[in-house]
Amino acid sequence: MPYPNTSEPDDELTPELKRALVEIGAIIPTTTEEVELAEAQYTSEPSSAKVNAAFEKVLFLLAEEAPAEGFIQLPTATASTTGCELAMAARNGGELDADTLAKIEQDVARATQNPS
Amino acid sequence: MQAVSIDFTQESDAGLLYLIGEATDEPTEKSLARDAMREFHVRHYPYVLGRLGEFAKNMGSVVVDVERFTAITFEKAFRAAKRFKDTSHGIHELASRKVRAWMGQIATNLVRDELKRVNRKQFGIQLVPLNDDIDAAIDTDESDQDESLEPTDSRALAELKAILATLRVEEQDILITYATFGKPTATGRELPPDIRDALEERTRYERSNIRQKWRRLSQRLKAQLEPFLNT
Repeated sequence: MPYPNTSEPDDELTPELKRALVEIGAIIPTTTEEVELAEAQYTSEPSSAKVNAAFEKVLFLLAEEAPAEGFIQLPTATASTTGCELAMAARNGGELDADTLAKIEQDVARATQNPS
Repeated sequence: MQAVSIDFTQESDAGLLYLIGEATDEPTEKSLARDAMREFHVRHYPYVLGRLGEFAKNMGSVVVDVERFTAITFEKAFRAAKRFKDTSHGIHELASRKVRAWMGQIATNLVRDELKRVNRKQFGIQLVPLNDDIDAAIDTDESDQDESLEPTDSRALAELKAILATLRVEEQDILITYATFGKPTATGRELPPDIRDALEERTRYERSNIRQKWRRLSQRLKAQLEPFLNT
């Protein structure tokens, strides 16, 4: 059966592309059809000791009153605000003002100086 | 007190979730629920860990603790066990896939909440967590057509993996965020405002650039995969 075409005419994510992204694991499967495709791809079989240890962690979380959170973090470099404005300006292709250009030139000069 | 003995390996997933969801504080029921949770966890842990691990590898600009993510997904599923609706009509394989699809929805909702939390944290905004009973509703899998899909050509999958490996982390993030949370509209795929704002902060791109990036990425993928997808 082809992937059900539920997308809008202008949806950039075609059913075929979505299906392929599910199969390689880039999208979490959320329908039974997607689960079936994903099951055909995965081969991992953790040890029973690992499964038991993981279950104990779940019980620990359930013992807490509030639902757990905190499994995603920003990388340290991204979390820092130092230089964010420069990075954003560069990525967005905006014009840099004279002060910013001067700062970049100073940084480049410092970085390329001989350590002696 | 009468001892209760149940062979949980013979119990359906829906049966296990029923025992978990309906258990009171009575010691026997709590013990049964714990055994039911253990059996449910054994059945689905390898699959859930595997899928969330693959997802994490592609979530470019953030770091995901996969084991904690998996544990929280099970925690949330057990807390919400009452809400699972089994519409498999006793077909074992379908029942298992419905449970896994439901857990996929839970995991996706958790990612959404977590990305918002990370964004708030960056700006020092603190929110009081909601009680789970009044937390956002979890969708059920009722729209399923319960029919198999043909797998994608393995050459297309290899090509797709190769392309993703060449993308910058922020490009991976844009691609996966649009594919996971975007909603199709008449003018193309759009992100919900909270997800879009968080993506802007993570990638440091402006909104128009993010959209442009998504369009270019999806066009590139379509063009490069087309020869394999049409054979």
